[in-house]
Amino acid sequence: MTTDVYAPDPTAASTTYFKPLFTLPSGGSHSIDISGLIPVVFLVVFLIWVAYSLAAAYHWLRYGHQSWLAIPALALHLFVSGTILIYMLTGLQ
Amino acid sequence: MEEFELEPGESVVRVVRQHLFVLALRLLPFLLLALIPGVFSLLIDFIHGAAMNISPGVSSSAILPSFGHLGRILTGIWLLFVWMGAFSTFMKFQLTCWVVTNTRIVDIRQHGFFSREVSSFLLIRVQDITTEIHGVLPTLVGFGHLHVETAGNDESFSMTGVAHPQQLRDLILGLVAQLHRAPNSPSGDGL
Repeated sequence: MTTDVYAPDPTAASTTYFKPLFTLPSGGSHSIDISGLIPVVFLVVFLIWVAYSLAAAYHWLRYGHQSWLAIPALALHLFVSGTILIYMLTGLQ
Repeated sequence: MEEFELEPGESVVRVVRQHLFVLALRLLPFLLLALIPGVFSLLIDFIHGAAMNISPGVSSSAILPSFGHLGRILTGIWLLFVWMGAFSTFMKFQLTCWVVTNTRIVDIRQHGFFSREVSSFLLIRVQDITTEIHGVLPTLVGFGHLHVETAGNDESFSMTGVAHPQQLRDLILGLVAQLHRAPNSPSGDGL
């Protein structure tokens, strides 16, 4: 008679640790697949960002037209938010 | 300017905005909000590391492989909205200003997207100007409030968080004195 010694694998344990975020505890046919939901969420967030950026550009260019800061501010916004969006895209892969 | 037209003989003396320190104070909550995902990740790492009796912090990448992709997306969404909030604050700061001309003060306030208020009153009606600097930081940094009261209809006008309000008060009072000394002054003092 042999006795199995359970040696926890840190990687495997972490998957189990975060599993309730994605699947029901019973698993199997009750599991929730969110892989199809993530691109939709990303698309919604992207559309919100586009609408926000257009509104911000409108205000900066219309009301801040005499300020030298308008174009650099918009460039900064595009750079920072673009970096964040690219960071998000790495999560989609 | 698009919001108002300068009258003949009118010139812009100074464009006043709030002190940069006020902007920094308003951006501080967004900075703290931006740190939350990192703190949350470290907290999970610490709790899980303690549960597995391993050194926390060392196994961050090994512990969170399945959380990584979703975590990046959630962190990205969080940071994107925090950034948009911070950028809106900066936009409101920059697009809110007071334009002091030699005849009037134009108050331009950007409350938010598609919410803008422009009002002005004549310097000739200025009766009293009060400056307020309360607190250690405003005293050290040099910003405060400026209240302008006009004669007649109990109208008042406030500038909050402006840099060096005493200098601005002296500037406005000097312009008011010039208007009263002018030969064609409506007040009749110059006649």
